[in-house]
Amino acid sequence: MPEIRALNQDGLSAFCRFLVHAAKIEPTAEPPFSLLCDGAHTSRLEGVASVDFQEFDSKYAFGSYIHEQVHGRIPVQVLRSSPGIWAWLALFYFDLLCPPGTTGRRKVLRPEKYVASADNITKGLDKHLLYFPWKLVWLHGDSAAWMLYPPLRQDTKLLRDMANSYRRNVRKEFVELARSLFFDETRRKFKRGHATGGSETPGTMRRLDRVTDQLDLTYDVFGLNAGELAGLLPTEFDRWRAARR
Amino acid sequence: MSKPLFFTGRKEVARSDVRIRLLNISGRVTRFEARLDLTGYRFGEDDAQVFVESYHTTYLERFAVGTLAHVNSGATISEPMPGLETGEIPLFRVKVVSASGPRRGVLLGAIDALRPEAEDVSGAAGSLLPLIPKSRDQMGNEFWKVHFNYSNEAQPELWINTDVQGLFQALQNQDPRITALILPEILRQVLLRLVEDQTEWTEDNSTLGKWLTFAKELYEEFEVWDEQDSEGSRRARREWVDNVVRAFAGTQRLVDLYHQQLEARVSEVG
Repeated sequence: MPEIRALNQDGLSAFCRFLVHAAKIEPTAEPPFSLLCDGAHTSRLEGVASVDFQEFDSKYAFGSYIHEQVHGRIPVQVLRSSPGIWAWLALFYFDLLCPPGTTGRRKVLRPEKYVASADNITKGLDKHLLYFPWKLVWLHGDSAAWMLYPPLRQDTKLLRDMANSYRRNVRKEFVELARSLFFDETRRKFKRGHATGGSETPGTMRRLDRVTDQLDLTYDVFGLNAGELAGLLPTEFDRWRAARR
Repeated sequence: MSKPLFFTGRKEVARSDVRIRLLNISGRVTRFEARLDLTGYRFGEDDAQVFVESYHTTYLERFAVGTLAHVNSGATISEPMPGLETGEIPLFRVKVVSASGPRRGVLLGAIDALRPEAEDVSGAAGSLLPLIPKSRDQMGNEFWKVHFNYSNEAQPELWINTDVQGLFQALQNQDPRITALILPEILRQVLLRLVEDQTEWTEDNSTLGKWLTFAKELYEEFEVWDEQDSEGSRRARREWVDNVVRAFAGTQRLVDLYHQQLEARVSEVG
């Protein structure tokens, strides 16, 4: 099993060049897998952990696997703050994150899905296809499984909005509130319409973040449980609240 | 659209009533100590709970530090902070929260975006632009860079590559041989980000307000954003930033200072 490393600045640049090239010019370009064990493009970590190449049937399966591999081996604060580690993993699992189609063409998403920025929150680690599942499993365990059911490579609107809500998604009660509003427990899928419309559309996940920002000014939002939080929400959430478990 | 969320009588705790100090080991924050003086606020609920929250980009820790009565007894609060990476300096918020009855969970008082005093990272406390030491792994081959730490607002920080011997100390000591070369560009980057599209002028206690107050000492206020001419407004903002930077370099006489330092150095060597 290969030892997890971190892409250094040169490695990150080379990977980014490939992503831009594959997205805009040559979708059949071969990923630069040789970077993974190249000492000039990677650096060793504080701690040793290994990974195996295998299929994952959901983001949750990956989050649980990688959490098991790194837990107690690589310090959490290093995992939380090092884009190089997650870029290395994205390259290692690139065939899962961005598989070639029957013609060999890959549909490459925005670069921050594979290489996060350390200093720009709009392209930060929460936007990364692998970091965010790990973070949610690390923080919330199986309480996060409901929103991590989509395939590893899929970039879903609810997860994007949850990642944007980076001050909230660390809080178990907020995740539970989002579940009670936007997850259909019978169909085991996100409810239809939770992400329809623009940023100001009432009752969406994005609005939940903004409304919680408002509530933050008058309530200790972090100290309230999901039921108490739901009780404070304005009427725009009634259509979801009526259907709460 | 959302219904209004009514004001509940929360009191703003004064910054002067909260002192938070970070204890560092080799640039990594390991613990904070806080002293709060909330005796003058008449919250009316001695059993109210006091919480301290520390946060930095995607990091957040919350500490229940006791009842209001306990905090007002003059106790020093001391808590470990194991979750921070080297060089990360968190901001803090303090909350006084109603603990029982129908107002349970309501904020009785609060203060946000508190910048702590730091024991061995001089320049971090109360500074417009905290200096943050960063490892070679984090900085690569860059000597320095302006980083924006997003909490409620964009807070600029100056990250310094600690692998470059003497650079961090030179900036701490405001050595003109270094600062003259890089400060104008740092100021340009900070202002360009802070006054981007549609930002309104303010001189309040926010980070933006403090930077604009500083800029006003150098140059006039920027024009109000014109929705009908976004491109023209954007150009005007860039020109305003150029004028502030030019005024800064002129006021500080950076080239003269640089020459003086070089001459002094030559004399010492001679």
